[in-house]
Amino acid sequence: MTAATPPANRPRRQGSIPGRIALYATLSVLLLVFIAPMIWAVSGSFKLRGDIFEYPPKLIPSPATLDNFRNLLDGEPFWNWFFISVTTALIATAIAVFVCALAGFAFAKYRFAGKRLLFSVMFSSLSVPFAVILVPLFVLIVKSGLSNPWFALIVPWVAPAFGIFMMQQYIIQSIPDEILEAARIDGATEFGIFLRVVLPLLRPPLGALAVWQFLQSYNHFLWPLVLISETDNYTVPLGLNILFKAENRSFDLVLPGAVLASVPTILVFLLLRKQLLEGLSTGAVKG
Amino acid sequence: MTSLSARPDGKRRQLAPYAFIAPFYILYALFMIVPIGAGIYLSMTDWVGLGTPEFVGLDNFADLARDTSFHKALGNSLIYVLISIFVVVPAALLIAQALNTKGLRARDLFRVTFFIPMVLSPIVIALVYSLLLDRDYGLLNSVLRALFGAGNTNWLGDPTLAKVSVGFVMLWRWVGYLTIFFLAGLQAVPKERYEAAQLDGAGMWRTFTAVTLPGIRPVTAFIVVTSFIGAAQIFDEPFLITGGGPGEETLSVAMFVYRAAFDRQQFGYAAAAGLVLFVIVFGISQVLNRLLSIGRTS
Amino acid sequence: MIRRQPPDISRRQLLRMGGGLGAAGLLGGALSGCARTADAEPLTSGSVDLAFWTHDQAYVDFFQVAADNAMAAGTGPFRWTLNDTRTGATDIVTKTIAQAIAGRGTPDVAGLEIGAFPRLLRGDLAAELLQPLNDAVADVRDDLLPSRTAPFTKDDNLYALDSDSPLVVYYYRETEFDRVGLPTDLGTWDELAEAAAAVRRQHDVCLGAVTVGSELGQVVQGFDMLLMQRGGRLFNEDGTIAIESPEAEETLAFLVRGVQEGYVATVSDYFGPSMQAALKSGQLIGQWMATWYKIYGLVPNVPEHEGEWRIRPLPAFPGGGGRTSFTGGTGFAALRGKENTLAGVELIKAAYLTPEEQVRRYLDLGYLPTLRSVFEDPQLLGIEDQYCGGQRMFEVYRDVIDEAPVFYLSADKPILDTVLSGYLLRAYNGDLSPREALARAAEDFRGQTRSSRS
Repeated sequence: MTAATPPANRPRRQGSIPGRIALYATLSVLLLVFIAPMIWAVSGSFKLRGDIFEYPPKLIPSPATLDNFRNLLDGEPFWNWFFISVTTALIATAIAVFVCALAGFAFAKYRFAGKRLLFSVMFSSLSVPFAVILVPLFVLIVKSGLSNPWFALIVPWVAPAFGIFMMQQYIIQSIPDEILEAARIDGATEFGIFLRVVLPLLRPPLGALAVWQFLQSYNHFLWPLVLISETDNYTVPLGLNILFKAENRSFDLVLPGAVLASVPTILVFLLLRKQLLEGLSTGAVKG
Repeated sequence: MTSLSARPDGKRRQLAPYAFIAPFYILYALFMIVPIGAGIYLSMTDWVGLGTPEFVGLDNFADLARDTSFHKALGNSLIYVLISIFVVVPAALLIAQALNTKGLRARDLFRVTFFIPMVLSPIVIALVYSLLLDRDYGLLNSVLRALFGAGNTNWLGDPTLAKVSVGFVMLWRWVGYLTIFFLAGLQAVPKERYEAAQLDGAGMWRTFTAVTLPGIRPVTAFIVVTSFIGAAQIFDEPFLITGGGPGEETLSVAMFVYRAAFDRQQFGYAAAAGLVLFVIVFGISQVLNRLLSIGRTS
Repeated sequence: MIRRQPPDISRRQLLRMGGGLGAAGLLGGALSGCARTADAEPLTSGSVDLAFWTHDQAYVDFFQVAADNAMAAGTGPFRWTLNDTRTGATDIVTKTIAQAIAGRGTPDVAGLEIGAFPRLLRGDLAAELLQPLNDAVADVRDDLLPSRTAPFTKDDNLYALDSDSPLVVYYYRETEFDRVGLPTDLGTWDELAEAAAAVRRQHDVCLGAVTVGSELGQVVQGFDMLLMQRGGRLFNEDGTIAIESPEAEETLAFLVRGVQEGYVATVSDYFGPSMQAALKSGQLIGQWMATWYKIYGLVPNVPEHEGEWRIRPLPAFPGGGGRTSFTGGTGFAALRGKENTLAGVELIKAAYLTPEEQVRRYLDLGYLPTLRSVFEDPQLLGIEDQYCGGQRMFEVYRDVIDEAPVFYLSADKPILDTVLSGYLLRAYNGDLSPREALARAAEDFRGQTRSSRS
């Protein structure tokens, strides 16, 4: 979509030079509004504690210091948090992508009794607010002794209905029945068809779903907040939040943490942005 | 959509789809249906987290009906929903329109940049914004002071401004995400319709209402419902940025649930508040889904 | 496109629903099953590994040394090793409860910060979790300051021993008071306020600060310190709200006047960057605050002010009250029904109930004794503090300790923090009169606390 832009949808704008200038000006101001807070945080992470709030504000830290990063990494188990966050998010992502693709495939390409009902049950789970299950799920998980990050941050989250919906939409649009039939004639099992014929064709939406799920898991805040109680098992967002509260809002400690915490998500996003942005819109637009 | 015709030979083929969707439904039952059932039970008890829950019937709901704090939380959550639907969604549509201009350079740069807040952790966003919005030493007030000599606005401490601030952060965080959907929707509108409108001599506004809006109806419906559900259960932004304050001016229902259970040891009360939110959100979104025909298998 | 809807689906649906309800029943069973977990037989002597939870590393070090001292003296039956977990003050309570729900992994000894402790006052939580210390303190009961045991007591059971008698004194930057010409020995707030108002025509200085940020507890704290000094309370002994009083109104009126006229500053909190900047810039030259604030507030934020600060008893309110107040404190408690319950109690006794350890606690941590007799300790009285220009701070403490107010906590303190903080801000802004603000806070508080049951 980036290189080959679709034809003009709004021909009226063509040729109006002042209009163009206004358009670019507006978009650039917006760009600034979106970027400025992040730049300011990055700049703050390199400032001395006393300089973060100095007046008048200075964008370039002087003197710039790495001490904040050093203090954070030496004083707190930041890498532990980072490891927990990234690993649980990766595992959850891998499982979710598989579960969603499988279910999406079933909904897209099979006729079966109760399909419509099952689909709407699945779809309606999108409108269940997390707040309703927060307390009972917490009690159930804690009571059953499963309140460790390797279970509680992964297993309840690996079957997002949104992912199934997205997969189903993509499969309906892009996978012709003929190739499934052809595989069947060759004697493939149904699961074999999924694994060897369908899955390889799903790379774009799988990429999108993977990024989406990774972001969801990595950024999840409320659930780890109530569930994880050992400092060593914190996720990065949780660790930063507790650090911020426990250390009397010391921005010099948490800003470097915020910068480091954002590296994986921004990296994943920038690397896979095309898949994500295009994949996200598949379901909604044509659905 | 075309789907395979069922053939008598494939008994396994009839069972296959059930096996394929089974993982989802097992997890769904364990981590959605069971907790909701348990929540219904808890909502009828008084329980501090330890000891035996005391069965109190519908007392918790009666208390909720009288609790001024819960009313405030409901009111605030409604405000967040309205902000989301009447500010964030239209803003996303406007940006998408702008990005959809023919021959726009650097479209990808804009699109990607606007999306970035979405990938940041809420805690990171909160830290960044407390750095900006601090009344005494925040960047925003410093800039205002430098430019206009008056920068003493209490962004997070004034009841109205605190809501505005939370609303702005919602806008900042979500607008780029929604823009992606609108942009895809706009690009899917057949250009012949625009050409036809042009031939009819329709103006910009007329084209927008007669061609664009109907053309993006499905995607708009999807976005509105998603935004409604998201905003109705908002937790991260107010919890992290204002802590619900000043007083309870930015308290949301999800925060109310969290606070009752994990700050005040009222697990039964929290479960009851959660159920009320569930009934409202689930009910409204089912109605919306039906009205706007979202989420059909075909 | 699938028109046919076989009847077995709705049955399946029903079954699933049934599963949900069944699970609820199961949960009910599980919950009542754990009504009171079987108590473990406590160890009475020997080596123990104690799970020790606190929000401050300094406590770990202090308790470890206290354990070593007791073991070296050979007085007790236990040999303790501390296995420490450090986390935020509120999280200690949250996690202790969560672990108790799970039925394992609770601490043996926990430091419960006074702002977080009230959560344990709800229902039977304190009785379910904590070992009463009444017997442990029996020998020193008369010497133990009642003002520091009352907050940690419920139904006549003492559940934790306080680490501090955090008296509120008036910190002032003597060099700045001299420079702007403010006398440092004025007897009442009114006199000090009047002098400050006069000085403010030339110098942008403030006598103290109230917090207006998002930490609701701290917003109330700024007010509560002076409220208690004035002889008022947030709560009565029975836990009912007490803020609709002439004392509360007078205190709030003083603060509101100060904020409006500018001699009381507003900061987002007492520890973070906004306080630091106010101190650094020389705008804030005084503050009513607890004895621990020198170490936790002044020294980290403005080390360069060494030698410039002094303390004195609080200027009095003409209407009544004393010259000091309290704010803060952390009670150490042992968890009940565990193998290490006795060992925990003995450790707390060894660390917190001997005069020697209370002296050391002041020397090491800066926390005041909770035994009245230790306030007469010549060693403590003789200490000259470098940061405070060689002042003998302990003389000030001894001077006011007997005026310290007794106060009570309530399980509903978090609710009061929420409602009262909002109305305090509106009063500081001038939107509501002090009387209105307090009345509306009390009204909201009653609307949210359910009198039908606790």
